[in-house]
Amino acid sequence: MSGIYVHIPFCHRKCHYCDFYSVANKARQTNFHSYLISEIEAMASYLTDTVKTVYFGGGTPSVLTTEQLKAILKAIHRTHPIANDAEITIEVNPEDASQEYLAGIKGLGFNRISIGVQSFNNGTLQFLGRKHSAQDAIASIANARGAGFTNISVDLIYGIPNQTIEDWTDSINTALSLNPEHLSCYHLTIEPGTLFGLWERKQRLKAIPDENSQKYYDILCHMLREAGYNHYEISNFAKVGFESKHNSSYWNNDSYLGIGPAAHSYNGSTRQWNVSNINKYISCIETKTPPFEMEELSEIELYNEEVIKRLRTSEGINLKRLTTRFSHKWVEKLQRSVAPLISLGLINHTDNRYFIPEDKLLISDSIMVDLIEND
Amino acid sequence: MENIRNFCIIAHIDHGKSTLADRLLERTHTLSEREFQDQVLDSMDLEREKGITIKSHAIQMDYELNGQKYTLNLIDTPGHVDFSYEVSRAIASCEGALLIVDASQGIQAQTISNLYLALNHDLEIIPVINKIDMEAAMVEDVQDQIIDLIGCKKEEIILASAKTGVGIDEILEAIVSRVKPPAGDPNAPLQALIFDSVFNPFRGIIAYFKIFNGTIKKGDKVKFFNTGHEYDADEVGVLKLKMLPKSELGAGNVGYIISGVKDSKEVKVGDTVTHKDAPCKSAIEGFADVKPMVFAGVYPVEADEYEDLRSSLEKLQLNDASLTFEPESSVALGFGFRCGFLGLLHMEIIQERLYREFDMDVITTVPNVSFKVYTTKGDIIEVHNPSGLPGPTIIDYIEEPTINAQVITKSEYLGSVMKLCIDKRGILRNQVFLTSDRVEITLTMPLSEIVFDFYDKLKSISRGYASFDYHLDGYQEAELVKLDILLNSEPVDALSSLIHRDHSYDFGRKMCEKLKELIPRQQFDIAIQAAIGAKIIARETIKALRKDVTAKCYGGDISRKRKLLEKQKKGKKRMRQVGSVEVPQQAFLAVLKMD
Repeated sequence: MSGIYVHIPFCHRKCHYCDFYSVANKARQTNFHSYLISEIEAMASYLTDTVKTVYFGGGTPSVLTTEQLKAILKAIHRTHPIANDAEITIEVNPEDASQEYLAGIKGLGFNRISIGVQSFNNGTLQFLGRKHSAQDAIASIANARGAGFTNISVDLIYGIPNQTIEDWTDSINTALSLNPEHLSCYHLTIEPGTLFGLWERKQRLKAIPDENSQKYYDILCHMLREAGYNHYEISNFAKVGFESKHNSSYWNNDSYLGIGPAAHSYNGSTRQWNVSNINKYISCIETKTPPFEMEELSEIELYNEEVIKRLRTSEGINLKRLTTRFSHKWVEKLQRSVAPLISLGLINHTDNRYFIPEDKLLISDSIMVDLIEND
Repeated sequence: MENIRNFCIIAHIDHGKSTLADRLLERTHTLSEREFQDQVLDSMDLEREKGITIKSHAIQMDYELNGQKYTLNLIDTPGHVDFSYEVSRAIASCEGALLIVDASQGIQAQTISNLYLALNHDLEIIPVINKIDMEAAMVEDVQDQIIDLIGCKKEEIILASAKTGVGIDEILEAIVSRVKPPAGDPNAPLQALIFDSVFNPFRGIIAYFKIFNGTIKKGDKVKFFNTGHEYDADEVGVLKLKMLPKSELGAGNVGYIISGVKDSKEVKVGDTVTHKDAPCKSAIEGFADVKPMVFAGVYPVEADEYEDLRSSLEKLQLNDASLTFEPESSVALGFGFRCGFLGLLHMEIIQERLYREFDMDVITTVPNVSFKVYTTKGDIIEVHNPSGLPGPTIIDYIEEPTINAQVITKSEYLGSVMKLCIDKRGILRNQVFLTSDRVEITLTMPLSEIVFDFYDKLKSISRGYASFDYHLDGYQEAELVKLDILLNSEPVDALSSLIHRDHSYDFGRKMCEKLKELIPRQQFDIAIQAAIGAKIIARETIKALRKDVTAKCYGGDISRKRKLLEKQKKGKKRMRQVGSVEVPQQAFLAVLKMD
């Protein structure tokens, strides 16, 4: 099982918190899909089995026209065997989500839509530098339903300075009232190189205290559990059967091919990542030079990644699976290092699985650090 | 002998001693331009960088005045209180001293205490005001200070700038005309004072001396009076920029002896060199076996570097006999050494040299002074380490070392300086106005009180103006308690300290507060407690970590997250484990940085 990720590095404008690779440059947009198509063709032999998931992310994929999207999808189909029941997702921003546009992309074969709502509070949206309003967000979800999407995901952000508990619970409630199949909820991280990062450096903005982070997280977990969602990964919640197959493939050690600037690929033993620069990317494609850098993963790195990836999920590390990929030495290492964490209640242990209990996922970094190995 | 002049330079740090010495060497053509490297006398890199002289050295200059040839021996003195004994031996080897005072800063405490030493040894004082070219120079004020202090005439004070070369000739002329030639009988039994020694990897220990009486020849059988060791004088000579061997040296001269000594501990500064067969009747006065007074645990950051640390300390000891060390182990820090230092600066210098010369990163624990414990059985135990304190039932009483301290400050800061000293258990002995706005106070204080944060506080309350000097001055009975720090109920041996009972509550509270700042949040609450025996006297809690999730793994970018966490893991490895609590290295020095 493998997946394809296509990165569309354009946005109408850059949000204040976002450190993903994207630019607000209309001029480059016109012909950009042709370079993606060239890369898809060049990488046709990277994946060796049937593609089960395709994911258009960004940036903002919905800045592309349905024609452009169609051309890219066609190239993927032409070069790769795609499973009949493949999950084909596209990220859409509310301001682009007219019923007409959504109907168009539904017709292209996208069967899952992820809407970048972030908040249903206009003050918060403005603070984050989003272009849309809460009303646009509500309408976009309704339009997606109207266009026939039966698998809708909504993105929300919490832990934002100035966001009150009421703002947060209101946003969750509004989201729940729209009955999405899937929710991705991220705690805000103030990253260097973003407007928020600059504000933090100038002391105009300060990350919220950890205690509050935990409060917001607990509210989130509680409300979504009550509403029948399964908390299957640190930031992801889904109704039964609607877990994102594409994102899960990252945690399941599946192979994936990343297309477009800054996209990552993985084939089980090496990782490669494309250059994070549109112009450089284009010139690589034009001159038929590989746009990526690559690293071969050592055994220790593969092990560390397995620990890091699996502990993000509610299933956790499956010892049986672990033994199929790693020698017994690694299993023993894990059993040794996991013991003190079990006694602290930071790792739960049942039927051959080690996992981080839901209420400790917010400190998963330090738990992972305890379990990974150094050279 | 009539044409020899032996002199030293008394100056405060930064008052330009080394630059002035360089000018003298330059003017007397002791070294060619090519050999010239600024501040030649400070041969260790560290000295050059810190701008202070750590170990004293000596150098001989040839100088001609009015057709007469003179030999000038400059004996350099270390510029810090920790080395006051070595300074005193250097002074004892001279007949004259240049008193260098910075024109913009005036007289400082250390200058005065060394000046007193020089006066005690009957040295001719040649006052020099240096840096007169500086904008902030207050030449007249400083002239008044000097006249007040030594009672000289205004005309006797030389105005100089080592930087521009002004006054250098006058200084050289004054050394010849004002400083007495050395006294002594070249035919009497040999008496030579060792004022310094260095280690040379090929030649062994090279001792520097001044001959008070008698004559020393190459090949003589010599004896070191105080240690009783006997050697052959394999080589004797004078100290130019390089060593210059001579067949013999007579009374009044300054020179060196190489006698195959490999162990720096055998050559003690202040000892007297005499002949084995015709020894002098008595040693030169003033010998003391200098003992380290400040002790601290020194541990390698990487546990497997213990042996490297040992060999580095051994090498340092070769040219610094005042450093002592013995193995010690700590539950928190593993294997390391209890090191003895002359004082805090000495400790810093050793730490810095370990790092620079041997690439050794070390953790240094809370320093403490050496205590004498009198037991109920009548024994005396020297305690260098809080864990070495015997059980309370067998302690009769404890004595701590005291110092005689001089502080010179502008009179406007006198009140706050006195308060600081009294808070530090100082007892005022004397108070003298040096000028209308500069006052010198003399106190008796426990040495342990200046080990932590005295210098920094003194500097900050006096806006950098107050200066400080001290000499060890015996022992006094002290009511000491052992203060332990516990993390989640586990005692951290490396954080224990011996402290006066009156200060223990305050100290314990501040220590807990400081540790709370320095220990990062972990996956569980951490209780920090200060305890005397079983009694908890202070407590702080570090609340458990609540959130640390950072980088997302968007678009399958797992590498970024993995590398971030691997880096964190490496960082954690450098921390020390106390029970389940991870303690960063800087926490072990917390007490040195408390307000």
